[in-house]
Amino acid sequence: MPDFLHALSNPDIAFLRYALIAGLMASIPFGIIGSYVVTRRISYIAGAISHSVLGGIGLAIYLKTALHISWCDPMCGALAAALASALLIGFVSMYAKQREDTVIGAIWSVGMASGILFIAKSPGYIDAMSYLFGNILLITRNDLFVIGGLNILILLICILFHDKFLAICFDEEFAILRGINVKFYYLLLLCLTALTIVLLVRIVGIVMVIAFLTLPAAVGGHFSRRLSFMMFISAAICMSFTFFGLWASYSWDLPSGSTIIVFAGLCYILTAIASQFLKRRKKRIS
Amino acid sequence: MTENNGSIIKIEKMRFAYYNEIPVLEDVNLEIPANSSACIVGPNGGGKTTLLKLILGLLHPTSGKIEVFGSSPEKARTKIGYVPQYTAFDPMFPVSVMDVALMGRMEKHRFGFYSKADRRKVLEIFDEIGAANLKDRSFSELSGGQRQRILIARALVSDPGLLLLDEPTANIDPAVEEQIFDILRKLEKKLTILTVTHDLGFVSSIFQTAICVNRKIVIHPTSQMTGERIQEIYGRKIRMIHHNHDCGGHNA
Repeated sequence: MPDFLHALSNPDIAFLRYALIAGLMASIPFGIIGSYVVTRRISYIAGAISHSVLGGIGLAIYLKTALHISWCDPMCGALAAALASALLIGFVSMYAKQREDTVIGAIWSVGMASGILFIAKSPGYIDAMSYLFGNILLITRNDLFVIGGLNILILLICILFHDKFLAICFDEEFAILRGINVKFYYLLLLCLTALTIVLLVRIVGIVMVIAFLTLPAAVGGHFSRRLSFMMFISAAICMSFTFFGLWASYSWDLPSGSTIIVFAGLCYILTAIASQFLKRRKKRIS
Repeated sequence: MTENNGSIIKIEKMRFAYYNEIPVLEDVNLEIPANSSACIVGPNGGGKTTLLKLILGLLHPTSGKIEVFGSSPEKARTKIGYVPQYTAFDPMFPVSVMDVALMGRMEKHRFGFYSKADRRKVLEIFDEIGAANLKDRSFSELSGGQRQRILIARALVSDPGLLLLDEPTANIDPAVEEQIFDILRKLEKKLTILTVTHDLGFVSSIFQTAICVNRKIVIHPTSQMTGERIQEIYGRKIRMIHHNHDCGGHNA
């Protein structure tokens, strides 16, 4: 551990510090949006959105390298693809409920496939692995500003509309009956999920997004009686996952994203077992 | 528009079918006057819940007309307090009793959080229905009867003119059921109540009118529904009844 802390202050390996700052900052929206995703049970939608992101990244790389459109950055492509698939899934689930899972599956795999095709046709070597499994160590100073900006945006919207989001997660029908524009808020929630996923892809990669969005919230859910507290505790858990995951990955020279996810998975299993145990004991006492 | 000559719900020649198939409801004419209360009874699949959803504007009639408070159900919606069955909820959802009850006032602010006035109103209603001791609990740790009571509170905090309940005593043990009846008896003096129920004991003890729904509807005054009369019609003990008579031969 002292080695790791020392390395954080070493100016020669600034990337490690950036990685940690990015992970800690992004933990706040992960905790908030993850709690909505878990309670509203839309983690499969989150999965589809995250995989469609590769399509956007691929297209952006292709436009940039093959067609020389220089402003086209992979992050822009990721953002556009995530928002587009969030809206598409949202509209389908509102207007053709029984087909929702088919569309989710289609977006999931077509998004990935088109991404791979674009990358294959782009000149030069592009490492798709770092998008699939994340590479927190490639985060630059500029990324920190992007992450910070998205952070503030997500936080602000969630503070303004938390009451409405809670209501549609808990009982959508009742929210409709109170005259709330449920379709608007549901789409807004999906778009926020999409934004969060773009942040996550940067840190843990496309494949592991669902885990990082749902595991901290699931761990937090064991200790929470209110959604707002669940968000707070999941954000804190996300931060500790990032910190200890990075530490382990630095100490034993392991891929950062995967280390963080395996660590998160272990914690989830342990807390699930512990909470079962506590429940049983509580029953025996009462 | 005013409240349409004192009637809160007015349904004329309404017909409803899902996807143009066999109608679930047909030839429905119904008028619920202000300050009256009624229960909706009928066999499973007879269209009770469908009728409720049509009144709430969650479904739209295939033909005919529904007016609630003199306007369309969508416009009148916020004047209705709706109480769904508590079993419809995720039992693990992390939400407090206060949070749930506050949802009844969610349309009163556009941004930000619930006001002090909202909280005061919730506490007032909790006192009224005897749920004040539950206010700091988590919704998921409540018993079925307690949850149902909180859902009634949620419907009441918006000061509705009409209260709609979907089988408020389903899956609740008889002792707690009686408490829910007491709440409804008290409320009945103040507002119009319409409740779907299987329990015909319920019918005669609280409501003036029973609306029998089985594709068509027939309205009975509950004064005709004494215990003996019910047993005569249904041939079994009241609590176990399945409502499947033809309501006086209208389906001939």
